[in-house]
Amino acid sequence: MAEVQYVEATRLYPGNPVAAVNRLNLDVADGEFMVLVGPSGSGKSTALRMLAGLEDVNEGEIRIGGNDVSQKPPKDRDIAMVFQNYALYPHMSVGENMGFALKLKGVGKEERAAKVLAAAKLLDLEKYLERKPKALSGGQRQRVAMGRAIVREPSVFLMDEPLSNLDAKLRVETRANIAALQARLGTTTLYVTHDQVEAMTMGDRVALLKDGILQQVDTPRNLYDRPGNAFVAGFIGSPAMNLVKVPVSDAGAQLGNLTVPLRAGTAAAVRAEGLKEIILGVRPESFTASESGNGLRVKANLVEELGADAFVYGELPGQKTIDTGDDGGAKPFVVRFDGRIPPKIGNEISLDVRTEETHAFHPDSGERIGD
Amino acid sequence: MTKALSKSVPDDEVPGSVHTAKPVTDTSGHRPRERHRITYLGLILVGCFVLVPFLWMLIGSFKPTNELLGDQGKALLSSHFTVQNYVHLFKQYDYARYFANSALVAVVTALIATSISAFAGYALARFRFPGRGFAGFLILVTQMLPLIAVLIPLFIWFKSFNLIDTYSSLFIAYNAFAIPFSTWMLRGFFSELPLELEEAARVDGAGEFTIFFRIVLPISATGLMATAIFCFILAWQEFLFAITFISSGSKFTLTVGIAGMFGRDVVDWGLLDAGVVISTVPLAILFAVLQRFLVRGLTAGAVKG
Repeated sequence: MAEVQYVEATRLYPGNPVAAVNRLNLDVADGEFMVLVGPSGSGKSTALRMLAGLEDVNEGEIRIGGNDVSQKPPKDRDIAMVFQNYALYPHMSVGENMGFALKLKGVGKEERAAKVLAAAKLLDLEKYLERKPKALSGGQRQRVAMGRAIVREPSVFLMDEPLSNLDAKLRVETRANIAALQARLGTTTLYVTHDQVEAMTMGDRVALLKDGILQQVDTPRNLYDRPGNAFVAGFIGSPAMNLVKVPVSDAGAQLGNLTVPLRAGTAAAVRAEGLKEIILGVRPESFTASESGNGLRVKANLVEELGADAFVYGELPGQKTIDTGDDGGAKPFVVRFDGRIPPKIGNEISLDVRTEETHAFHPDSGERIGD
Repeated sequence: MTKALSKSVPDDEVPGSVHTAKPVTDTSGHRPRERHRITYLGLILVGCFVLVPFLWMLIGSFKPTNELLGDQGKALLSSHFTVQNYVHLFKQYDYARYFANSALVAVVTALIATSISAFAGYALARFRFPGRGFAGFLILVTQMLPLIAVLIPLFIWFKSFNLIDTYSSLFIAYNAFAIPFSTWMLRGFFSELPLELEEAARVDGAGEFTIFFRIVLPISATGLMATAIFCFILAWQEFLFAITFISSGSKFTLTVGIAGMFGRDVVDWGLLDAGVVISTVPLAILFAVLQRFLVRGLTAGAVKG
């Protein structure tokens, strides 16, 4: 059991002036499930591998249980890692795979067998202990990889996209199993994923990275309700939040034909900075069909019916939705509707906005404005 | 070596590559089958082309030499089937000795070269150290030198170290040529292995040696096997060094022994055929048994080689 601290931890690759992980400061409490999430190339895996000792820490330090481990080899860090492709030793049986670390530590044969068996029971793997990895299904291999980590009773679990090789259904099951297992064992866990659903459902807290820089660390709820900048706002949530650069006046933000009043704190901050424009963020579910018919007018170009929900993809006349992802192209404006009364494609719909659920971001820096 | 290689590789590889290179898009059902037929016909022709000399050699070894030289020599089957050539081989010459010498030299070369190049290849594949690129380059350069270019210098060296007419001269010379190539081959093989396995072992608490001996080597059986076979063949079929460095008959290898059968006036072709047949048998067995490893090992190394 231990807490993990990144202190100004930086990873520079030779010949590349841009740091893969740039001055990362992150505290993970003892027993906490911390998810590192971000698009590809965000440095989340590198950050994890720095903690594992598989990547150098060029500046700053990483502490486990208060001790600086930045210069220690992986074996002296008391960590266990689950790899994306499981990395099971193909020439060893499941039991040998799980017991390998203990064997290297010099744990006696009987104690080792007992520990492997206990972990195997936990993961429903008793029947397979004699098998070679190649004779297992994907889900079973994944569990063996988990088992190999559990057997060692390390102070920290590191997991690098451990579910990305499973099919969708199994992934959802395993997601819940891992979260439950971690809660039961109470071992500090760092979990890397690019899947924001995993991040939201599994983590006690989520750290969002982009281009090697930590954007925000918070509980999934807060990350969703109070994103610290436009990138976080656009990354968390599916479909993504609508982000539109709009003119502001004292009356509010001008979204399409609708003037959206800003909350008091936001309006004050906008006035204080003398901004003429802001990035207004509204999640797809923050709209309701307007009863008066005087709401925001959006033309429905595409309707996706998912049963409970229907997502309408449309456009705002004269305004463009910003894509905070790398491609930078225009994105459709997305609105969630009740799945049972979807609008028709090609029709114009009229929408009311729940003002208390809007977000405002600085037009240049993308930082959150106001409360 | 080349004979043996060309014999085993096409059988395994050509049909496979035809499948992958030309995915079947035609749904009529006729053309793929026809294409298969053409492929197999081609393979049979190539197979015949490669195998007929071996067959001729085999038949010749069971014919009396006088028959080989006369009109009868053109016949496929002998009217006087005889094992006399084989009997002569072992009576007139110390052929068993030659065979044992070749086996000794080839096995020692295969063992030493594979062991050393496993370390060297792994280091080149996985570790970052100053001069790594240059070391790799040097290893390649040695492969560009023809044997004849180093023959005299080596002879002078060996003479000053009193190594002439010893097995050691052949061990050293063959390893000097086998190690660079097999290092390159294994470097390619090791760099294809998933890095995650070694990282997993590192996190599990293994040091570099543990990783190498308990993870990398066990999962590299195919590559090591292919490399060992290559080194074995290299030593088995070598002639130039063997005839230059070895002078006493008791240390002759097969190639030197067979060369000695060419008389000044007469060549006993039947005897020669028998000698070559026997020298080919171990290679044929080796290939038959280990073909699977060889094809996989060679291609695994070749992709990034």
